[in-house]
Amino acid sequence: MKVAQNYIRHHDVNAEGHLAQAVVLVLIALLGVYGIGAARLDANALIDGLGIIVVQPDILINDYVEKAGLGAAFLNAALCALVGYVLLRRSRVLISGPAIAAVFTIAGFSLFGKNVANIWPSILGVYLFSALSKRPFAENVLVALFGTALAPLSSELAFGIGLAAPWNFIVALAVGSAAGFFLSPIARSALDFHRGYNLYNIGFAAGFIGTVTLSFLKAFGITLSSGGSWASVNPGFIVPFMLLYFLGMMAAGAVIDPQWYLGYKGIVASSGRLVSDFVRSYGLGATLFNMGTMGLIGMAAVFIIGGDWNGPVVGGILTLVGFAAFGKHPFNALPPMIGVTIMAMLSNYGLRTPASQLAVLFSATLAPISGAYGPFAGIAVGMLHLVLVQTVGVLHGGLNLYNNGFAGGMAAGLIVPILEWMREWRRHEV
Amino acid sequence: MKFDAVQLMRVAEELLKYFYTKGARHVVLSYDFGADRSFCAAHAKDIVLASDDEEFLRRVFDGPVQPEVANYYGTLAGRRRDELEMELVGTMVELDELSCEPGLGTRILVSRREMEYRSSHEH
Repeated sequence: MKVAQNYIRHHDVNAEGHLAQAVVLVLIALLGVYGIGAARLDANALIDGLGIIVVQPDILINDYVEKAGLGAAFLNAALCALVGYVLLRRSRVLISGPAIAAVFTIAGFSLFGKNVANIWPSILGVYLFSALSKRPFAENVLVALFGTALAPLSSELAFGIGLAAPWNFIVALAVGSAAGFFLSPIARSALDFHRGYNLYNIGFAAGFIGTVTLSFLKAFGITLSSGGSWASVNPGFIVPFMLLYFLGMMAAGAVIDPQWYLGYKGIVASSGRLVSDFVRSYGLGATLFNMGTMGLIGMAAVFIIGGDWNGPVVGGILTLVGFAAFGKHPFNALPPMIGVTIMAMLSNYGLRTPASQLAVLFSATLAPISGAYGPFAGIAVGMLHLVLVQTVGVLHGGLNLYNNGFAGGMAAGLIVPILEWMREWRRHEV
Repeated sequence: MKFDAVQLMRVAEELLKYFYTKGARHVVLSYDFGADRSFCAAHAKDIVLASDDEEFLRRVFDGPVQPEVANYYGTLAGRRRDELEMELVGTMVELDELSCEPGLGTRILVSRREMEYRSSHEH
């Protein structure tokens, strides 16, 4: 057994928590400004676009950029991220790695599945769980935010299966809330299966809830709406904006903490297993630098695989960036991304399918495995991840937005016990 | 069993593993479960931590208790056989005492403040 002992230097966590709020607010402001700018200040277009987004069934993958345009999609992302930020502030939690990851994830997925209307039922469910458990909502706020993965469930019931108003809204609210309610205990239990090696743990738990829900729907002859959409916009509309944002993040990190590189050494030495709060352990400066770096890596990955630029891909990059405050760094994230790429090229799936493109970005959910067991283990689990992610979506029918979290949980749960045994065997601890 | 009591036991498990990795083979754990505040003391009589290790522990507990992290991810504490979760432990309890003295060994006292834990987390 080894002791991770690479805390570098003292920093005021509370003070940096205040600064981290600025990071989140800057993201929200940039998304909002970009959205309004992309719509050329046309308020009617934005309102119409938001209206289109809200009534989408949202079964995975539903690209809001394709459905409602860049402006409305990004404005929706800003509004959903703002909801996340307000909930965190109202809960009075420290804005550190997990909170940053939660807001960035909401922002990212609000480009392809979450919207200002459908995120509320699952949040309400977590709130009710907290109330019934006689615990403060603040303790479950992370589950509430990440739990918006099940947002398509409410949208599908409201707009996808043909129920008439007002029953569609009542059923959507009731079932969405119930899913959120049960998510809290299931998510905690899900941690045991992969032992913290799958960063998108809620995706793993939400996958089971989505599977059960789909099974019930099928049992009563209810079929999910078909469709889905995948845009491909000119990179020139998105790439410069993101490039500046990530470079700005790196510069801000260096300004906030002139000795950021000391903390960064600690970050890249970390396995990234849950719980790896980089803000708390290594400081905001080093964390911001890491977030900017991971953003650039995400963009480079899209170019290298010849991916499309659209809502889901930008969402994948934003999630990569958010979790760079909570477990991911270049050394542990790249191996699974490479593993997915290799397997996509070797298999029938190829790199052109939407699922493969997203898997390259979201496979970094398995970064802790390469962080703990080395790059070859990371590549191997990345390869396993790709074949699983192409298949497990059928189980929940796209009701769980974090399909890569679902597949990642399975991959980690299967491979970690083997890796663990091999390591103990090598150390003669068996 | 109360959730907070279980959480404190998980923390104790991590402290026990930490002492073990540092070479301790005689460790005494003791608890005091109160209505508002519960304590756990881990005492390793046969080791004195090096200054670097002591500094590491102090930094682990340097930040505030984070209920949102402790409540959700707290189940990971005390589970792994091959790794420590000291970073997580730092979000779950407060450090009340850490002493390392030759002859007396090393003693860590941590606590969870149930009621204040719920309401004092303001910035």
